[in-house]
Amino acid sequence: MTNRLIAAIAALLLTQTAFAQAGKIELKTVVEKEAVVLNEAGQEVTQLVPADKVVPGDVVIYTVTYTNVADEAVENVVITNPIADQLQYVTDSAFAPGADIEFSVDGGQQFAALESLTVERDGELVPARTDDLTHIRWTLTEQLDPGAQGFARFRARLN
Amino acid sequence: MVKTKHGIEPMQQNIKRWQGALPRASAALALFAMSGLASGVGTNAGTDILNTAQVNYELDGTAVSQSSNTVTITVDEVIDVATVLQSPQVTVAPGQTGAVLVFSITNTGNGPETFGLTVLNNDAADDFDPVAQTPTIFFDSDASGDLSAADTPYVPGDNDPLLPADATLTVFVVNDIPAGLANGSVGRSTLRAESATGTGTPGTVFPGAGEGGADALAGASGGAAEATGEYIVSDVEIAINKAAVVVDPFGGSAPTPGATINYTITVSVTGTGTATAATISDPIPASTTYQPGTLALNGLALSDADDVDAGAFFATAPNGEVRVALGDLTQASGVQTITFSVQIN
Repeated sequence: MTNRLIAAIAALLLTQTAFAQAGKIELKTVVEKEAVVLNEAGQEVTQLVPADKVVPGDVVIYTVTYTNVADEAVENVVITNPIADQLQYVTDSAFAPGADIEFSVDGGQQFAALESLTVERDGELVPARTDDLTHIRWTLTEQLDPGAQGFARFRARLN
Repeated sequence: MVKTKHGIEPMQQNIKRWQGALPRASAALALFAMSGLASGVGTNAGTDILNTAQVNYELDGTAVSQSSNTVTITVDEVIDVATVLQSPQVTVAPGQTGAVLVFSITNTGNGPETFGLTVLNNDAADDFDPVAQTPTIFFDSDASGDLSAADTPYVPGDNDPLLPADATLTVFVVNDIPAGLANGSVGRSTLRAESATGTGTPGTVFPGAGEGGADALAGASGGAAEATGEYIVSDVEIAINKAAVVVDPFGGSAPTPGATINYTITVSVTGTGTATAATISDPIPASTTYQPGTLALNGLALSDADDVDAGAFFATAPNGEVRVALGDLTQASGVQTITFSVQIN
């Protein structure tokens, strides 16, 4: 896990991404996938590579990084990311240090823990499945100090 | 090609023409059991999936909302195909022409793809090689599930089928059976479907060859798939006779309105082979009406309902028909006798 994390962060730093909007928080998204490559020693290692081209069955990894570029703390930071129709959230893949993770099955209207979400299927309320999810939300548990940075991430499989 | 017909003509003089078709009855029936293989094959090639994250926060008590950059993933084309045999083993007679195997070809990739088709009859492990007719392959153009006059012949390179993702095509492979084959000889015929974009080990990339200029790559099938059907030679001859006795209401035998016609159909098998799943179906002649409760096999009454017993009356247009399933018949089965009655309207 640690190695993967380091590789991921390294990949993040290498990825060229434009910022869509100037603000107090810099928010950027990258999408990557894992690829097995040979390292200098000829060993197979798994790396994150840009996922601009994918095929059904591929797992992609969305990483959202946030940085407070203001000179004061911001509070109640909530990051929301849609899960496209063609993508299915990979169970337990949502990850964000210092944040609560919740999901939506109704297009982002309401959020709750995955276990407590229900959907109507064949006229009955049943527990939501990963393919019911429409959004994922990370709520930071602490204020974000000036200069502080963090990231949130999840994996999804292309249908 | 002539569609295989397995119904007894109402008049005795027509029965001879029909006899040759019976050994193929099991194959013909199987065509009706065909089903589509449609299943989800994944997101269509060329689809762009966009993602933008959003952040909401409070700064000095003011709610602020910002969006991230938008990232896009583009779905490449996966080339995959499945070829599936739809016929059970086809029973043939030595020297028979036009023995049909049914196959389905499904584009299991995620983009439209053209496929080239070939038939291979040179299996080294079988007892004989079927001889491909020209043309060899027909599309089921009229979606009848059965080779018929309306079906279009396949001409390689000219009308190679273009299948949308997930689409299934039914094709017929037509072979002749060599003469002089021993009973029980098996011959195999293989249909191969190959992507026009290319074939290769799974993962092989065809740059820019995919839908909308995206890359295409070979899926699990490698872009080609084969299925093999089998013919088995059955040295079996079937003799069918149909006799009619007219009984008029006045004690005579004049075919007047109100007279009853008692039909007797006899079926006998000679030779060393087996006529599998033999079914006799006989349309009720024009201007007559089937007499309920008169159907019998070997002297035992069969109910008119389509139930557990071997026979039934079906109210098909125009006058209905009787149908009796005789099962697998061999010479040892002896003569099968079917009787039923109709009344002249």
